[in-house]
Amino acid sequence: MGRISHLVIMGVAVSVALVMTPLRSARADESSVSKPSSSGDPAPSSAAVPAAAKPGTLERVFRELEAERRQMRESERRHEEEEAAERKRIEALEKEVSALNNANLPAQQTQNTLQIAQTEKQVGQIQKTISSQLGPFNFGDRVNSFLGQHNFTMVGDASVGYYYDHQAGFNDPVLEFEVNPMFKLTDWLQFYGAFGATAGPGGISMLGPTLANMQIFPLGREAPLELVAGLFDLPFGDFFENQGPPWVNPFVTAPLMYGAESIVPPASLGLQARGGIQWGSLGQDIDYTVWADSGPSFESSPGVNLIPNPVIGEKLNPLTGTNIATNGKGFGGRFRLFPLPISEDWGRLELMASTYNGKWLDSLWYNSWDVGYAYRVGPFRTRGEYGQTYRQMPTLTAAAAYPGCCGHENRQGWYAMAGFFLYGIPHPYLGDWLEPRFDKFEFLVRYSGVNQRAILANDITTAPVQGFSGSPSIFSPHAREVALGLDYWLAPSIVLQSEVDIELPGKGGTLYNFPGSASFPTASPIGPTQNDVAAMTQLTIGF
Amino acid sequence: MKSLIAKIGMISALLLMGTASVRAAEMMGPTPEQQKKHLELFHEGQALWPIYCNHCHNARNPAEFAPYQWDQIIMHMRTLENLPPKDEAAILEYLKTAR
Repeated sequence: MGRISHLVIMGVAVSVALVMTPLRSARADESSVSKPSSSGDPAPSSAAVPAAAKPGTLERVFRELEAERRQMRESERRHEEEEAAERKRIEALEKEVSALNNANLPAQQTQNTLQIAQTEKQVGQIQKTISSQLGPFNFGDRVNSFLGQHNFTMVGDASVGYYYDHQAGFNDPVLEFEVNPMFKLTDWLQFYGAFGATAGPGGISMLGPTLANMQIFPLGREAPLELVAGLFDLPFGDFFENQGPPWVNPFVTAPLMYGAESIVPPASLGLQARGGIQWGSLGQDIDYTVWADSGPSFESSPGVNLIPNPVIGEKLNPLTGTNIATNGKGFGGRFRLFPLPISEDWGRLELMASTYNGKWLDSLWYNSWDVGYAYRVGPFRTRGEYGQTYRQMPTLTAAAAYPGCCGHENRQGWYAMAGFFLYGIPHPYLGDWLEPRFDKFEFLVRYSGVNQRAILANDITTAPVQGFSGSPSIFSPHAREVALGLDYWLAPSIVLQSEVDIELPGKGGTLYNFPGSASFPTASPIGPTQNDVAAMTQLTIGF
Repeated sequence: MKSLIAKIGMISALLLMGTASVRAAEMMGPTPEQQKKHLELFHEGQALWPIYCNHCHNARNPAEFAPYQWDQIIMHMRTLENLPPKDEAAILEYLKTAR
């Protein structure tokens, strides 16, 4: 039994020895390729000695490993390329999404606006239903359905300035405030007005209403016809209507032909018909304004009576509406052409002609005409006008005939102005702080003049008010003015203005005067008139 | 008699449903055509706004006034500046939407 056990043990030992021998050689082969020497020496280590005995096998293993490495590198390269391509695709998609979002934004906003309008409409319907049930005979409902929704808005301007004039010797502050209520009764009817006050060395005065009119769209908003009824800015030229508000006029003062010795009245009481159409591409428009009113009037007109009798050189009455007693009737027209299409980026050019005619006293006529232009492109703007007026004077005899009385009165007026915003000048090195401030400056220059035969001494005033420097040199038969301006635009409708006016009146003309309670004027020739300089600074806010 | 009443009832129900469908379609908001028209007006107004307004004064920021105020102001400006009707609509659309 013991012998058998010994034989079994020996048999097992021999079997184990036989099994172990091939395993050890295989491990030696494996360790020889998987563990290179730490020095990086490609020479085989001592463990690789058994494998060296088989060089063909080792080379094959190396080749296979090289092939695997190449495949791995190739695979990595392909992955990297695919990843880069994916990244590009994602970027492109992100750009598309961003572009779509931008394109959709106005549509979404439009949709929101429309939804609000829809809701407002529904609320309006409910209100109408309620009021129709409450009111007798549905009166409220009928009125509301006729007039629609009512809205009230207030805009206007305020300005405070400091004026200096050399010849008049003053150095004073001036203030001005004007509000423009707008009451929209319906889509075809709106009321508009202007009320204000001024303060200066001459005192405080309330102005109002300087405008009060109805804007009517008799054929709806789609038709190029609007009616304006009431007291309105005279649409003669462009100044009173379009450049009048202090935040719109880039200068502190008005050009001479629309200033203290204006050659046409600033406002009128009557009825206008006006409209505009596009005759070519977008921006190529033509418009018309025709009106009939109560006619021009002067200081001597019945109902005004600021002077006892008509005289050459007297001022036009500011509001023609106050002279119903003259039996006057006036009519006028203005036509404007805008020839440049906006697609060409050439700016906007306006060519304008206007006329105003009427009986200023019984059968005596006042005629006027005017041509002008306006142009703005980028930082540059310019506009100018030339106008002429003609007034029939009464024939006077005996004691009433003052020197130079008889005949007709002619006046001419003109101006040309130009402005340039400094953002039009390249200025790359100003820095983040200075550059935006530099961009808000605008340099301005204007030349204006008026010719007339005479000046009325009673009209001369040197008390400055907003928009008028108070220089006595303006009251000259041949007034000339060079205005230099520097504006700093804090916002589109908030401006700090600085202006220097150089008055350069010409020689000649007559000075008339009504001393005391005299019915007829005295006359004296006006010789050389002294030049003058005025400087003004003003902060104006349009709201 | 019952069948006549049933027919009348059926027709009435159909008419009611038709009317309700039309009304519902109206309540759904603008159609794609209307949206497209508004978008065109918006872009036209965007092009006109700086040029037309700057002609007389610096163009005001759309955010300065509420939509109902722009309604009134543009109504006034159309009269003052004799804007063509389509241009008025485009500028108004831009100012009310862009704010």
